[in-house]
Amino acid sequence: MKHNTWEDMIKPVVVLVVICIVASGALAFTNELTAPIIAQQEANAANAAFLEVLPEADGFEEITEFETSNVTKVLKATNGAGWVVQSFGKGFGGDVPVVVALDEEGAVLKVKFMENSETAGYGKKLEDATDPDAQALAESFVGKSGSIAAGDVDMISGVTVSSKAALSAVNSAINAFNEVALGQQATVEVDTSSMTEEEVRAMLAPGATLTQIDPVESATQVWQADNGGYVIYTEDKGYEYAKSPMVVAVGFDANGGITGVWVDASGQTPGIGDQAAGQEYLDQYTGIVGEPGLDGVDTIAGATQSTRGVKKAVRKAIRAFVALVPDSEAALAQEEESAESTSTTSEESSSSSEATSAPTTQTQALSQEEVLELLAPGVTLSQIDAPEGLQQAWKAEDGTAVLFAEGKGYEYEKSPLVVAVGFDASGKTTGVWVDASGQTAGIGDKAAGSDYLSQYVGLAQEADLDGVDTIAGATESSRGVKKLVRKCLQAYAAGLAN
Amino acid sequence: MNKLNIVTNGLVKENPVLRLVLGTCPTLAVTTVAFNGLGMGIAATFVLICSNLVISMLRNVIPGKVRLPAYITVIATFVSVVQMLVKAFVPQLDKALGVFLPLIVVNCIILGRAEMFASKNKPLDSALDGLGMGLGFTLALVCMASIREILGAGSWFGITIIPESIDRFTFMTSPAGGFFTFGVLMALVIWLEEKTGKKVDRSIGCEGCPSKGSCGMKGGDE
Repeated sequence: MKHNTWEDMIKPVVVLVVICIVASGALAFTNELTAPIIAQQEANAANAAFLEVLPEADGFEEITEFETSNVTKVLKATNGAGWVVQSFGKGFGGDVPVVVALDEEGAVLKVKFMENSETAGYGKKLEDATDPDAQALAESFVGKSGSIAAGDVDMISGVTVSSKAALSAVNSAINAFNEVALGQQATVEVDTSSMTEEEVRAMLAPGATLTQIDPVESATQVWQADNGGYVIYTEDKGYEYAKSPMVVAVGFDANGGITGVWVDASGQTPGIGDQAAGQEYLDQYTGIVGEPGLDGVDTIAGATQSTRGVKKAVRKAIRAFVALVPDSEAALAQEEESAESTSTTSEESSSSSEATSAPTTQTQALSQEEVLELLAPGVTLSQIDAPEGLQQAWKAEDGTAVLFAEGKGYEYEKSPLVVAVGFDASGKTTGVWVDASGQTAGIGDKAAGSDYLSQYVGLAQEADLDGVDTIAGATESSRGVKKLVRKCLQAYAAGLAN
Repeated sequence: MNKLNIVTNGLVKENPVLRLVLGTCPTLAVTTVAFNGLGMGIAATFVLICSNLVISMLRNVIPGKVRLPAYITVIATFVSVVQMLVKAFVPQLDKALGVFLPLIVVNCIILGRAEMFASKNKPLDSALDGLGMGLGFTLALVCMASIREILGAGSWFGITIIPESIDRFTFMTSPAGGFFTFGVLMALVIWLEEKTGKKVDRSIGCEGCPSKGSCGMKGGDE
C-alpha cells in the first residue's frame, strides 16, 4: 500500500516539482546572461533611429515630464542641435509610430516612419525607406511647423488612413515640442466616448449653465445656455443597416457658430462608421456658422453613410438653432444662401426617414414652373426645340438653360426617371432636379435626395461626372440619374454652349 | 539500430515533415524564405537534441501519469532558452520567425519524438535521434523554402537569382503556395520510394501510420 501511495501520489508531484525548479533555474540563468544584451540592442535600434533623424546630435537627454497625447518619447539633443520626438497616430491596424527631428524653433528637420502593423502594400509601405511614396510623404514634412494639414503634405493616394495617422503622429510630435520646449499648454486628447451627458454638454458649452427647453424642429433635445449659446441634440440613422440611430449633440455660441460636435456612433459599424465620432472628423465642424458652412465638410471614405448621417444631423441642429434665434448670424447666412442658391433644394427629400416638421419644398412635388424657377431663378425662360434625346429644353437670354431628360432607372420601376439640369451662363450646372417617384420608395428615391444631387452642382463638362458616386443599394436609380445628367451635358455642349 | 542509422533515419526514411507529417504548421508558415527555414530548423534541432537527451535521462524517473506535463516543461524551458539566445545574438532571425519561435514548444516533432523514442531509449541514442530528426526537419524546411523563395521572390538566401525583369510567381510565397509545394514534395517522396522499391503501404488509420510501432494508443502494436 505504501509503495502504491508513493508511486501514485507523491512521486509524480515530487518529480514535477524538481523538474520545474531545475527548469526555472536554467531559465533564470540564461535570462541573466541575455537580458542586458537584448536591452542594449533595443536601445541601439531606437538610438539608431534617433541619430538617423538628427545626425548632428551627439547625445540625448530624455524629458519625461509631458502630457501631450500620443507621444512616447521626447529627447533633447545635448549639444542644442534640436529635438527628437517619438510619437504615433492611430492607423488602420494599430499605431503608426514615427520619429520626428525638430530644430530649436520647432520646424521639422526629418521624419522617419517606424515599424507598423498596417496593411501590406498600403500602410506598411511607410516603414520601407526605399519606397518612393513613403519617401515623398516623409520629405514633404521637412521645413513645416505649426499644425500641419493634410493638404500641406504629400499624402499617399489610396493609403489615406495610414497617411492620416502618420500626419497626426507628426502633429503630436510638434505639439509635444510646443509643450516641452516652448512651454505651451499640452494638447491632450479627450476621450469623448466615455463622457457622461453632462460632461458632453459642458464640453460643448464651456463655462455656461444649461437649462433644458422644449425641442423645436427636428431636434430631440434643446438646452439653452445662459450666455446665449445652445446645445442641440439631433439624430440620424447613418448607415442604412445600423442597429440604432446616431445621436449627435451640437454646441452653438450666441451667433450660431458651432463650438463643437459630439457623436454617439455606437450603432455604426465598429472600425468603420464609428470614425464618424472621431475627433479628427468632428473638428471640421467647429467654427461653422450656418448651413452653408456645411458644404465644406468632407465625408470619410469608406464610412460614407455614417459621416453623411452626422452631417445631416448637424444640419438639422443648425436649423433648430435658426428657428430658435432667427436674428443670429447663422440665420442670416441661411437666408443669403437661399436667396442666391439655385442648386438642389437644401431641404431633405423623402429619403430622410426621421419625422421632421421643418423641410419646406419637397422636390418631387414641384410643378414644371417651380422646377424652372429652382434651377434658373429669376430668369425668364422660353422653351426651344429640345435636342435629340432630351424631352424639353428651355433657354434664357443671358445664356442660362434648363434641360429635361427622361430615362430608365431601376429596371422594375413604375414610371421613368425625369431629370432636369440647370446651366448658368458660363455653362456650369447650377443643379439637378429629379422626379424619382417611380423608383422604389426608400431606396431609389434617394437618387432624388439633396445629398446625392449636390454632387452635380458646378459641373462644367461631361468629364466632371467621373467624380460623382452612385448610392450603394440604389445603384440603378442613381446610375439612371447620372446617365440622364450626362445626356443633358452632352446636349448642352453640342448645341447650346454658345 | 546502430548509431548512424538512427541519424539517417530522421533524414529520409522517417523524415518528420514528409513521412511522419509532424510539425506542419511551422513548415508552412516559415518557409517563405530560405534563411527563415534554415533558422527555424536549426533552432528546432537544438531543442530536439537537448530535450531528447534530458527526457531520456529522466525516463526512468518520470512516472507514466505525468509524463506529458513533464515533457512539456522540459521542452518549453529549452525553447525559452533558445528564444532568449536568438533574441540576444541573432535578432533578425527573431524578427523573421516571430511567434513561430516560441511555438516550437508545441511542435509535434519534439513532443512526438520525446514520446516515441526518448522515453524508451538510452540518452545517447535519443540525442542522435534528435539530431537526425532535427536535420531531417531542417532539410525539408530548406528544400521547401528554397523552392518557394526562388519561384516566389526570385532569390535564394537573399541573393537574387532570377533577374528582376522576369515576373515573380508570387503565388508561391502565399499560404496556398506553401500547401502546394508541400503536397508536391510529399508526392516526390512517394515516387522516390517506388523507384527504390521501398514503397510503404499507406492506409488510413493506425495500420498505415508510420509511428505504429511506438505509439501507445489502442489501435497500434505495443
